[in-house]
Parts: sequence; structure tokens; C-alpha cells
Amino acid sequence: MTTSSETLEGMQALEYTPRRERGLVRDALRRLWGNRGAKVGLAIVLFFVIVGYVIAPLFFPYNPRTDRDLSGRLSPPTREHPFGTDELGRDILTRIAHGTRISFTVGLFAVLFASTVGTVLGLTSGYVGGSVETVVMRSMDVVLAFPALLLAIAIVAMRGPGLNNTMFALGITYIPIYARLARSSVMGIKELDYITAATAVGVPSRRILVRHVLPNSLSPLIVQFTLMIATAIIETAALGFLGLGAQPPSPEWGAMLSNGYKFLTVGAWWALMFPGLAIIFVVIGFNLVGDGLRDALDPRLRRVGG
Amino acid sequence: MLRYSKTLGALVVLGVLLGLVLSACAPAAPPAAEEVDFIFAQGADATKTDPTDVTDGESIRVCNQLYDGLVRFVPGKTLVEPNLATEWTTSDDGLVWEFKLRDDIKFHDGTDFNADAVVYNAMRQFDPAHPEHTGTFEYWEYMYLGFLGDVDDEGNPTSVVKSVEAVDEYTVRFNLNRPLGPFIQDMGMFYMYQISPTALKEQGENYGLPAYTPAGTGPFKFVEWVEGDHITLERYDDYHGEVAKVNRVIIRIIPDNAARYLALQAGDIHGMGFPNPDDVPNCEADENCQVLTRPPNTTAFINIMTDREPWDDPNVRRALDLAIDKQAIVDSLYGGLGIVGTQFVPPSLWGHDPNIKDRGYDPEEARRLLDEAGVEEGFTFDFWYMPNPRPYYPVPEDIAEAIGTYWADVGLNPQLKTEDWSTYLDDRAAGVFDIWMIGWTGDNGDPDNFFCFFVCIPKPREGNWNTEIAQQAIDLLLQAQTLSAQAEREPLYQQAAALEHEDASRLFIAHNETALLFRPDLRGFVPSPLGEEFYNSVYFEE
Repeated sequence: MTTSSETLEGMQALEYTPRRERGLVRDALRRLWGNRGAKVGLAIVLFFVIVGYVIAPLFFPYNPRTDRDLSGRLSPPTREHPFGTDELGRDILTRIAHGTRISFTVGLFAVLFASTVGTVLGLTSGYVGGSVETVVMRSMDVVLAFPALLLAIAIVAMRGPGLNNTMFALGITYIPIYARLARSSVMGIKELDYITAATAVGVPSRRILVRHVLPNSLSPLIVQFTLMIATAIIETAALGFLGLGAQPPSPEWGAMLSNGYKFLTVGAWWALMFPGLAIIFVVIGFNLVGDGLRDALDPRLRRVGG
Repeated sequence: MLRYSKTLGALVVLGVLLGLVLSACAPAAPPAAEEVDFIFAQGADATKTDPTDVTDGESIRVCNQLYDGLVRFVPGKTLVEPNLATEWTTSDDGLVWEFKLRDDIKFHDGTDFNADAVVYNAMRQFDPAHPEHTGTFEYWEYMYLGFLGDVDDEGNPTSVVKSVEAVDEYTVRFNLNRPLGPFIQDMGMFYMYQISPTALKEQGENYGLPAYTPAGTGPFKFVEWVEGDHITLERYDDYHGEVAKVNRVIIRIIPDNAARYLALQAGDIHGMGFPNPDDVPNCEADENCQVLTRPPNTTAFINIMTDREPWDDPNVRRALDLAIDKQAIVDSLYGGLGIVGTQFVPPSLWGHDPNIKDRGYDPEEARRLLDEAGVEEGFTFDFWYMPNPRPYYPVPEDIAEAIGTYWADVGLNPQLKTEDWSTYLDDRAAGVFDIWMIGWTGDNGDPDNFFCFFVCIPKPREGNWNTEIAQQAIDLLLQAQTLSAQAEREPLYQQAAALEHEDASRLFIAHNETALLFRPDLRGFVPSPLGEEFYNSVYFEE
């Protein structure tokens, strides 16, 4: 009884892949919505998106780069400047809000780049095996041998500071994570019956990879994607802090931190605290969403729930 | 070359970081009880320990401890006193200078110091055919206007120096082609410090690089140079002058102003240059901190490539000048230690012209001039600033950002750029930049050193200022050089300054005092307006 139903399910998966996928997504979303942590995380991320992409550009009275007021520099929080002003008298709230776009863009594109390249490398090497696998995965090991931030610093030092190079450098350092993840999923999946069946009926390898292997190994990649955005935002800030990321006058959070901490000795805590809080909240937000997604997409949990 | 140096830079960064990780695991040896170190932190690494081939204060600080010149600046003053030379005479026409040398001096490597050594050192810089003429010797070229064999259009030698000869074992003679007003002042400067000829011959073009041991006659000997981290010097017990009171001098490199100040407060270092201007009043109020200031002898300015579009139009340069509210910058970003700059020569020095006034802050006029010159709204260009503090720019990034916002106000779109300091200096010399921040600390108390040094030979590193007005200024400056009476020279410098101001070949931002911060028990440090500070007199009060 059990055996036949499982076989039946497997055959259905092979024949009606699209419907099954929609079910998975709906299922996952429902599960995500039921997770309180994920809801909070999603709310935080959405809040930053709305403030950074809509409210700040449309409604904030200051320009984050050029509205200096040298005589009003390092002013503590007031009604005009709720988060105080920085070393050139610019409004810190405005700068943080506009800085959201920088952090999100860099985070998203770095991870997008890494996950695309990494997944392709991992999938192919895992599926093809042999010397391709050895070469690709050993070179991934070499990259992994360096602490990610250190490698990013080296790449930026080589290519010159700036946001584009930050994105590129972080992207490179994250590739092995996706390559390994994708490969390990493939290793499990390619031994399964439906892949054997597809191979047996003569489906070309590329189609098997894209239509059958990729969708079934997507869940861990999606989770990793969300979590890595948080890491990328932190490391963008770290590079900015070291002066290697966004260049002045960009309101990048890490650069704001490194500027702000110079004035800690004169008691200007606001120049340090608010950019720091922004980083903390966004990172917590993405991590909560990522954790929620992991729970939602976990096949074992799904079996228990459904 | 540039690519290569960047790759190398990345490898160095990797290496240093890995080194840090590894060294953190090694147990630190406890210091011996009698050892007293003086640890001074600076914002950037030295570039070389070869005094003839450096221009930056960080390298000069190290060289001041390692070397001596024939004469030296009285600590804290701009006058010179005997040092390796006991006395000197000059002919009535000012063309022959004869120095009697001390006969009891040895270089750190044991080589004897004598007239031959002085001639060797001079000829190494002066004669392009000399086997050890391996550097650019920027200072020699600018102070004496050229090398052996350089001629002008009429075939006359451009160099002030004609020849250098040993009269006997301890007498040396400098023969000049024409008199040079500040000649004896120049003799006290670092580029005329004496280097062991043996070391120069052995090390060749590598002399002064981090892995090589320099040898001078100064109060301290070289021990090691860990690039980007520290340079260690130890007391030279056979020093001919005041033997150092501390055992070792350690020059540490801490690029961040705030981190340096925190290290001072924590007692990790005993002295530091370039505090954040905002920290100076803090230190004054703190009984665990001591402020010493150098008298104002600096000029901060922005160099412009005056022969490239659109900067070749003097009105565009004037517009850039008018757009900046210098008073606001000086008030807020120099910590009350600065005044608005109007010309090369700072007000503390003779040759300054108080009648030259700043153009003032007038963004509307700036906009009008830019429109008239056909500079488009949103015109984008790279504006370069240095990565580390300088005496004249205590917080270069903040100042650059402020200036950038002022230019944005008048419709320009400057992109702020920076790079490693020694690359920055090279790139400015190579004409890579169009518009960049730079400045000057006077070396010898003579206006010639502020003015002629930058203007007399038009070069990319000084913006190729070679207009008709520039030529007039250059003539005045060269004429001033050949005179010796201050009263005759002063008006020439003032006229040249007026020409420069009119043509706006540079934008002068500020003159300032520079502050140095120390532990409260440190004594014997004499701040010099020239930055020529000798650490053999430094000690700690019990």
C-alpha cells in the first residue's frame, strides 16, 4: 500500500511537474506566514524597502550627499535632524534612508551573481562528475581556503575601491558556497529513480539538469540566498568601513560608521549608533526571513505538516 | 606598472593580514626593564629611508633621526647651526662656499666621514652619470634647478651648483654658477643629509628600501622596517652630539586618526601626529594628554592641470575658487588652528603679501563664470584627495567631501577619488590627475622653498602652469633667488604671489598650525615649524 502510493507520487512528479511546483510554493508561503519570526523579518525588510526606495527620495527634505551645513556639524538629535548630523552637518536620518538602496543593491547583486555562477558550476560538476567535478570543486576549495572578507579585501585592493568592485568581490567569494550546496543536492538527486527514468527515456542531460535536478535542489539554494544577503550587507559595510567600498560622499552604512566612530571621542554617539542600528535591523530582518524560509521549505517538515 | 603595483599591493595586504593572524598566536616577550622606547605614531608609512629621494613628512621624520647634514636647523627654529661642518665661509660674490668638517665622525656602518664622502653624496645627486644616481632626486632638482649638464635655450647651465670638490680631507667646497639666497638654509635640509658611501655602493638602487639597512651619522641607527606597521631605530652610542636619552625610537603606522588617538590614550604610543582637529581641545582638557603645536608654516591647496580643458580657462579656475566657502571649512574642519589661504607663503613667513585677499564665497558668480565658459550643468570630473592626513589637510576626506558639496552647489559633479599615498604622489607627478588636493610644509624658512619649488619649472606635478602670467612670475622668482638681501627679495615674492592669485593656477585653501599630541610625562620634544624634529632630546619625566 505505502510502497505503491509512493511510486505513484513519484510518477506524478515526473508527469505533472508544473502543478506540483505550484503546490510547493503555495505550501511554503502558507508555512512562512505561520512563522512569527519570518513575519517580523519580512516586515523589517519591507519597512526598509519602502523608506529607502519610496519615502526618502520622495518626501525627505535633504539631499544625502550635498546638503552640508558646516556650522551645524555634529549636532545631536533635534527636531530638524532626528538622528543628528554628521561631520559635515548632513542629516544622518536622510543618509541612512538613502543608504538602504546601496546596501540592498550590493547585497542583492552580489548574491545573485554568486548564486547564478555557483549553482551552474555546482549542478554541472555534480551531475557530470569525473575530472570536471574534480577541477571545479578543488578550485572552489582554494577560494574557500581564504576567509571570505579577506579575499574580498584582496580583490578590491587589486581592482580599486568602489561599489561595483565590492559587488564583484563579494560575489566571487560567495560562489563556492553555492557551488557546494548545489553539488551536494545533485549528488543525492541524480541517484533517484525519476532521473534514471528520464535518462532511460533519452532526455538530454541539459534538460534533465534544468527541468528536473534544478527545481528539486532549489529549496536550500533559496534559503541560502536570503541568508547570504544579510552576510553581503554586513560585508559591504565592512569594506565601506575600511574605505574600500562605497566612496564618499556615498551614504553607505559602513562608511558612515567609520566616519562616525572618529567622533566618538568628542561624544557624537549618534553618528555611530544610527548607522549601526540600521545594519543590525536589516541583517536581523533578512536572517529571520531566511530562517522562516528554511522551515517552510524543509521537505521533512512538509511531510509532517501535509 | 600601475596594475602590477596594485596586484602587489593586494598580495601585501593579504600577507600582512595573515601575518597579523599568525603573530597574534605568538606569546609576546616581556620588555627588559632598562629599555625605554619612544613610540611615535604617524598616519602613513615612510616611502624610503633615503633622504635624498623622498618628499613626504613620514619619511623625513625617520631620516631626521638617522642622518645629519653639514648644518642643521636649531630645534624649533628656522636658523641653521654647525653640525657635521664646524664652520663655513662664503666668498663676497656668494659663488664659493667652503665647509670645514668634523674629523671624528663615523657612519653607522663604520665608514669614515670626510670630504670625499660629502663630494660623493653631492655628486650622486648632481651628476646623472654617477653610478649611484638611481633616484629622481626631486629636491635637488628643484632647489638647484637642475642637474649637471642641464642647459637652458641659450646653452647656459640651469643648475645653481657648478661643482663640488674636496679641498683637503676635511674641507669641502661648493662652487655655484650664480648666487643662491637660501643656499645655507638648503644645506640644513634632509636632502643634503650625509649617507655612507659604502652603503650606497653596496646597495645601489635598493638603498633606502624597507629590506635594506641605511647608514647615516645621526643619533639613531636603523634596526628594522616592517612595512605598513612600524620602523624601529636604536640609539647610536657614538653619536657626536647629544646622545639619545631613549634606547629605541619606534615609528608606528596607524592610518586612522581616531585609532591613533585611542592608542595614545591607552598608552600604547607616546606621541602622535595629525590628530582629528576635534580631538585637540579634548586632549587639552585631559590631564593624561599633552598638546604641542608647530608654528604655522603650511599651505593647503588644490592643484589644477592648467593646460587641459576646461581648466585652461582662468575663469573656470576662478569659478572653482569662488564656489568654495573656505572660511566655513577652516572654522569647522581645522579645529580652530587654521586661517583661509590666499597664496603660497604663509603669513608667518616673510614674503607673504597681506594685500592679497581671498576672492570670497560667491556661488552665484561662480555659476555665472561657469556658464560663460560653456561648462555644462552636471559636468563630471575626478577630484583626487589623499588617503591619509597631512599637516596642511588634517582630515583630507572630510575636506574633500565638503569641497565636493560646494562644487555640486554650482552645478558641477566632482567624483571623489583616492589611492595609496605613494601611488598618489607618483600619479600626480606623472600628470594622471586633472585636479587634486596637495599642500606644503615649509622646509627651510625661506619663501623660495614655498614658491619657486612649485612654480619655477613648469611640470605636470604642479599643473603645467606655463601661461604668460606664469612666465612673469617665474622670472620674478628666479631673480629673487639670485639676491641675498631679504628686503630686495620680499617684494619680488609678493609680486609673483599677486600674479599667481590673478591667474588662479591653484586654489589656496588654508594655512594652519599643526598639533602633535603626547603622553603627559614626555619632555624634550621641540616642535619645529619645518617639521625637523630630532628625537635624541626626548625623555620621560620620572
